Order: sequence, then C-alpha cells, then structure tokens
Amino acid sequence: MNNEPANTNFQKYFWVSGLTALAVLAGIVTLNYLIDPYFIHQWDTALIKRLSPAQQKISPWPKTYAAYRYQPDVVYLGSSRTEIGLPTDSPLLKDQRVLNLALSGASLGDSINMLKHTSYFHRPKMVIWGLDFGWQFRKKTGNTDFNTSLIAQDSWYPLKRTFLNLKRSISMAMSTDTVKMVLGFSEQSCPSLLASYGQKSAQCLELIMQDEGGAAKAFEKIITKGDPQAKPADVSTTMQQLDKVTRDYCQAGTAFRFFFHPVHALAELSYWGNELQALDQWKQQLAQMMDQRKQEGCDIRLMDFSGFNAVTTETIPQQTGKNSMQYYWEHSHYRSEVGQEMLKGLLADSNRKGSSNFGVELTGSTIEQHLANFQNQREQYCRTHIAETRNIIFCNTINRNN
Amino acid sequence: MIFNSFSFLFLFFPLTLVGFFLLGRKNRQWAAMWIVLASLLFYCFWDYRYLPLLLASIVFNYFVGQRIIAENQPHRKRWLTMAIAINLLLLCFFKYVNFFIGSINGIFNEHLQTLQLIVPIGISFFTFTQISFLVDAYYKKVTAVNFVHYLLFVSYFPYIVAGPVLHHQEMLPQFNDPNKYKPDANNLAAGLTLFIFGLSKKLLLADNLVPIIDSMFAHDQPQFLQAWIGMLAYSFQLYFDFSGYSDMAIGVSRCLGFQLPLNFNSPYKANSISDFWQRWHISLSRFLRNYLYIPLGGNRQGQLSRYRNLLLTMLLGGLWHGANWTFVVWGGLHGLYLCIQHGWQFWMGKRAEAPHRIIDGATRVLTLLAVLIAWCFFRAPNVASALDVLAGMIGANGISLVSEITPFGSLMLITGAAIAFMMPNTNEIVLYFDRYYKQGLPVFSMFRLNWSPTVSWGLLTGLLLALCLLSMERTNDFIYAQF
Repeated sequence: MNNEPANTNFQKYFWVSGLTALAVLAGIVTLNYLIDPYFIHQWDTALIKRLSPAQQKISPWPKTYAAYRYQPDVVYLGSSRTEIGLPTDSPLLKDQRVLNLALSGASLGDSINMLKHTSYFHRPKMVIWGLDFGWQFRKKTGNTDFNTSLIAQDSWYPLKRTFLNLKRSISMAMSTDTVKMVLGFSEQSCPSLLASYGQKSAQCLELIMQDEGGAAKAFEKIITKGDPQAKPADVSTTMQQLDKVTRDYCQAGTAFRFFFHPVHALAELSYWGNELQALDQWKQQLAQMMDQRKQEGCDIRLMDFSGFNAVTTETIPQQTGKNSMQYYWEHSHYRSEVGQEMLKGLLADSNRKGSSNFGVELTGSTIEQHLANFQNQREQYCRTHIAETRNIIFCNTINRNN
Repeated sequence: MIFNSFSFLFLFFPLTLVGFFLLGRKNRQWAAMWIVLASLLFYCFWDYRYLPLLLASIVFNYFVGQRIIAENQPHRKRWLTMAIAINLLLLCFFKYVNFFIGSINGIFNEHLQTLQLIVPIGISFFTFTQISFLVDAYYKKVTAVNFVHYLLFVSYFPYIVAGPVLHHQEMLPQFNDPNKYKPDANNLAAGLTLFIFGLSKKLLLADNLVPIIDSMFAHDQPQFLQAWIGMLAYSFQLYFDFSGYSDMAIGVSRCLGFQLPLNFNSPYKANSISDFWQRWHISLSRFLRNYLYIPLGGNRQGQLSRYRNLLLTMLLGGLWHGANWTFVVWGGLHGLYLCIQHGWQFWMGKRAEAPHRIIDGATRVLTLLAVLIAWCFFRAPNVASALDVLAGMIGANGISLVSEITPFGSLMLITGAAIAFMMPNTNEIVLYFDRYYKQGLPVFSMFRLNWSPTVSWGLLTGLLLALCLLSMERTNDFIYAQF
C-alpha cells in the first residue's frame, strides 16, 4: 500500500471505492434476481416448477407476489396448519382460482394484511380462514417475517414491488443460497409452495418429519412434559379487528368460512388446559359475531373441527408402534386428506347435514350445547387415556378428582 | 435510526452533509443549527418521547453553566452542587430507580411496585458530558459559550447514542473554527474509510459472532469448551461492536470536519489492567479519572486511600453501564484487579518497570484472562448465570470437548482473534498521518498498515462496503446503545 498521503488523489479514491461497491453489488443483485432462490418474483414462469429446499424461506414474499399476479377467487388464511393442511385442489373449488395464503407463524394481523393485499387487486369471492387460539390471536405481526411493505396500498405496487425485490436481493443470506444453487450444493428436494398454489406439499412434509424424527418424537414432548402454549394477548382488540374485517368484506360480497383446526386431542388438552374458560368464551364471542353477520346478510360460517372426533382422537404412534399417522404429520399439523374433508364440511350447504361427525357448525343456538359436550368429551378423553395424558395438567386434575 | 441502516447511509447522512457544507458557505451559525436539527431528528428516530427531556437538560445545564461562569463564590459552588445533584437524580430516576426497588424487594422481601420506565437513549452520555462542562466551568476552564454550539455539543448525533463521552474542551473550540465549515477531501476520505471499517467490524464480525454466544448462554450449565468458546466470542463481539460504533461515530464526525476523541486503542493487547483501561472506552476512563477518581483524592493520600478510590470509581463505573448487580460485580472485579496491580507494582518497586519479554507476554495473557472473567458478569443476565459460565470455564460442569460451533463460526472466531491480537487497529490504519491522533498510546502490532487514498485502498474499502450492504438485511442493535 502507498504510504504517501501527500501525493494521493482523493477524487480517484472516491470513484474507485464507490464504483467497486456498486459493481460488486450490481453483480450480486443481478445474480440473485435471476436465480431467485426464494421465488420472490415468480408466478407464471417455469421457475416455480423448480425443486426447492424442504424448509422454504421467507414465504410471505412469494405468496404476496403470487396473490398480485394470480388474483385468486378463493383464498385460505391462517397459520402453518392451514398452509399444510388445506389443499387447493379440492373438486368443490375446481372452477375457481384458489390460493393458499396462510403463513407459518402468522398472527391474526398477518392474515388480515394478507387479505388486504390480495383484495387490492381482486376482491376474493370467498375467504377460508383457520383460527388458532393463543399465539396466533395477536394483533400485530407474528414470526412470519411479513414485511408490511409487501402489502399493496396503491397503484404503484408493481413498481414498488420490483424495487423491493431488488432490495431484497441485497442480502448475504440470499447470495449464499444463490451460490449454493448455482454450484449445485443446495438441497433441492421438494416442490415450491407456488407449484401447489401456496400449500406446503406432502413431499416437503415427509422430508421435514424425517429430519425431525417423525410423529412419535413430536408426541413425546406432550406425553412427557405437556406443551402449554402462550396465553393469547389482547383478545378483545383482535376480536374488534376481526369484526371490522368481516363487516367490511361481507358488505362487498365476500363469503367467509372460519374454522378451528382439528389439532390432535392431546395437543388440544395440553395447549389450552389452563385457558379452557378463555377458549370457550372466545368461541362464544365468535359464534355471536357469525350470527350478527348472518343477520346483516353475509354468507358466513364458523365450524369447529377440533375436539374429540374420529380424526382428532387418532391413536398416537406410542400406542401403534408406527412412526407415522393416518391423519397427522404430528400433533398439531394434519394431513391434506383431513383438509379435503374439512373443505367438504365448510363448502357444503349449511342446511344439509354432512354424513360424518367431523366438524360442527357453531351458531348462537348451538354453541352452549357444543361447549357442554366438549367439556364432557375432554373429561372422558382424560379418563380413557390415562397413560398419554398423565402429564397434562387439566387431565391430572380430572383424574385426581375421580 | 442506526448507523448501519439504509436510511442513515443513503438519506440522512448525505443530506446532513450536503446541507451542512452548503449552509456553512453562507453562515456558520446556520450550518451549526442544521447539524443540531439533524441531531434532534436522529434522536427522535430512536425515541421521540424523550426529546423534551434532552432539550430541557441542555437548556438547564447551559443556563447553570452561564451562572457558574458569571457568579462569585459561594454562589458558584451552590449552583454547581445543585446542578450536579439534579443531573444525577435524573439519571438515577430513569436508570436506577427500578434497580433500587428490585433490590429492596429482594433484600427485605417487600413487594414494592416497579415503575414503567423507558430509559431515555443516551442519558448516560449526555449527563456525563454536561457534568464535566459544569465542573470545568466551576474551575474556570470554560469561558462564554455560544448556545447553539452548546446545543450542538450535547445533542451531536454521532455520539448521542453510544458515545464517546465528549469533553467540551475538544469539541467547542472546533465549532468556533471557521475552517471546519468547509468541505475537506482529506476529512471526507478518511472519515468515510473509518466509517466503512467500523461498519465492517459491526456487520461482518460482531454480528456473525452472536450465534456462538447465544448458543453458549442457552445452556444452563455450559461445559468447558462451550464456555471458553462462548466467552471468547463475546469478548470479540463486544470489542468489534463497540469499537465499530466508535469508528463509525468518529468517521461520520470526521466527514463533517469535527474530530471526536479516540475511544479504543487495541485493548486486548494491553499488558496490565490499567493499560487496558487506557485502551478500552478511553473517553469514559478519562471521565471517571478526571471527575471521580481524582476528586475522591486519587493517590494523593497514600496507598490505602488509593485502593479505596480505585474500587469506588470502578464500582460506580460498573453501575454506569446498567442497573444490574452483574455490572456492579464487573466494576468491582476491575477495581480489585487495579488494586492488585498497583499493590504488586508498589511491592516490586523499580523491578516492575521493565519486565523481560517473556514476562511482558505473560502479563498480556494474564490481563486478557482477567478481562475475560469479568466479561462473564457483563454479559450474563444475572450473577448466578455468570457463575455458571465461570464454573464451565474451570470444567466444573464437565469437560466435553464437543462444541456446537459451526465451521463459519470457527472462521469468525479465528478472524476476530487475528484482528484483535495481531493487526493494527482502525485508528492506527486510517489516522496515522493525523497529528491530532498521533498522541495515541504505543501499540503492539505485528505489522503496520497505513491507509492512504490510493486505488488499492479504494478497491478494498469499496469491497468492504459492498459486503456490509449485503449484510444489512438483518442487524443487531449496538450493545452500548443500551447503556
């Protein structure tokens, strides 16, 4: 290096350092943009058929882009349970453009933002929305990395989005993944989210479950320690938000199908054992909200697939000796086949009773009986599954009292 | 807003710079006011709710300073006492009241409610900066001060969040210097380079060490290798994070033409604890020495009172960092180290002055070890966790040689060690030709590396800048911003 500062040329120094930075960045951004390892600007391109790693990163990016380009008629909202469990190829929706816009780790705020975003381009005819009590029922963002700048707010969105995509490409992590892909070191083993219209494919889930030790290992935690979930924060504010969203969209003609996920009975008891009263109250409030919307002329329904039905009480791997289950990936996430059944219930004529006992529609007139049944079934399940429920606080109380 | 954000780099800073020099051509007072406005805006981006507090503190201290300058004894002393008391009360209220309540609850088994307080950003820095101004005004080291310059001195955005602790004697004369209001290519080139080096320390080194540290502190009782790797990583993270911030602050200010005091000078190359404190957070050490240790009596009243003053100074210095017993223990440990060092030197007499090269090397290792042990308390959420880590470091939690460190983590750790122990520091590299900074301490580097605005240095800084921009997608806050 030159040690003579007196003879230096400052102007040249600025130019060289500035242009070097610019050239390196331009090269990397171009490569990232062309390879697009996270599918941040793909829809009707061949790239969406490319295989990707099982754990796809930053899913809000491809999903918001797909919503902008595809302009779906039917959208699914919710968390990873909806993203994994609800298929977009239901025969009941075969003539509709369906997109699963659920995000792993989404809060209610994230789901509302996603709805606002997709509606900016094309107001969906129907929204099918999976609700989780607890952590999802928060007002603000969840752990989705859902940057609010991804939400369309004006007609400049396409331009802004291009700028965002380019800015997103200025990233060390993305560059590393791009280089891995170019050099062939990247694990590319399952279809992209976009290839199955936003649903995480069974192929990806198989790989993830293999990595994580299978369903038996997932159930182990609940059996040995229980797995209480975080208490939902600020339920009243989020209920107000839900009330406003349903009111606004119903007035514009959008139909809603809300549902509670069929998490496994053990998970249901373990998650909310300390919050059962709050959970029941919340269901009552939602049922009232549905009635009110219906009175206003809205096509809206709320179904409860959780509880103690044939699906949710499936025998766990610890009892069967198998490492996989018919209906579940693990205690919280159910398979696509269950989702198909749920769609049948959700999309059936509300006056026509379905053939199975899977899923109960909640209204102001049915909710009290439903909750009473639920409480009996909870207690019954504890009594008949003493070994599996020995570390679940709620069941311990029930079994001790007997 | 933080230095390592796109909005600072591509909007706030360029606009501030251009506005300053354009206004500086017309009217220096306007230019100074422009930086004041920029500084207040910068402060608001952190937390606008405390802007009135900052402004009230500035106006109050300026007014009292003027009274102290104008009054005669005994009024001068009354003004000074009252002002220092109010400054310290304000600092204690925001920073320590919950700590005191928590301690009372713990000791006396009470259930007093803690207050819902947010510590105003930079309160430790702007309080100390202003106390030194008041004390010097009392000792007639300050003459009349222009209010806008005072406002600029206290709210100056490069330092307000995480220092260095400024001294009016090195800043106010610069604000009066007409030449400082003209753009200078030398300042711009050196300032930007220093900024990029600081940014690189933060983004490419400090932030990449975080996973190693988090992984170690995730264990309740880390084992031998985990504890050592975790604490070494934390030592480097803290150094690169804080010295990176200081480099950025000095660099930004240098672009504007104003020189901030040095804050770091290769502290991990220190050969004693007192040497460490002349190299680590130099501006705070200077403040503690001049405004606490010396007023307490320093070493003027014999060895025993010297040790007492050292301990007291370091305990309060520890508490300055945060309202937690861990910081008190950390400060106390450093006080103890200093007492041992001075006791040893007192006992050895002249034999301690020129040690053999091997002894000198051993003292550097010993100093580093002592610093590392003290960092356990600085990082841990409570004293019990720190003791767990220390237990891990002596193998009391098991001596598994299996570590969770990734190859990338290992690379970061080795790079950090090489830079901290062997390379010249950024100030030595960038500011070697600057007379102002040449007063730095002698350093122990394996080689010299002198920056000058040449094509090869341009290529290197350009590449570093590109890598930093690529790493800005996710950044961690500066550790010292919480103090």
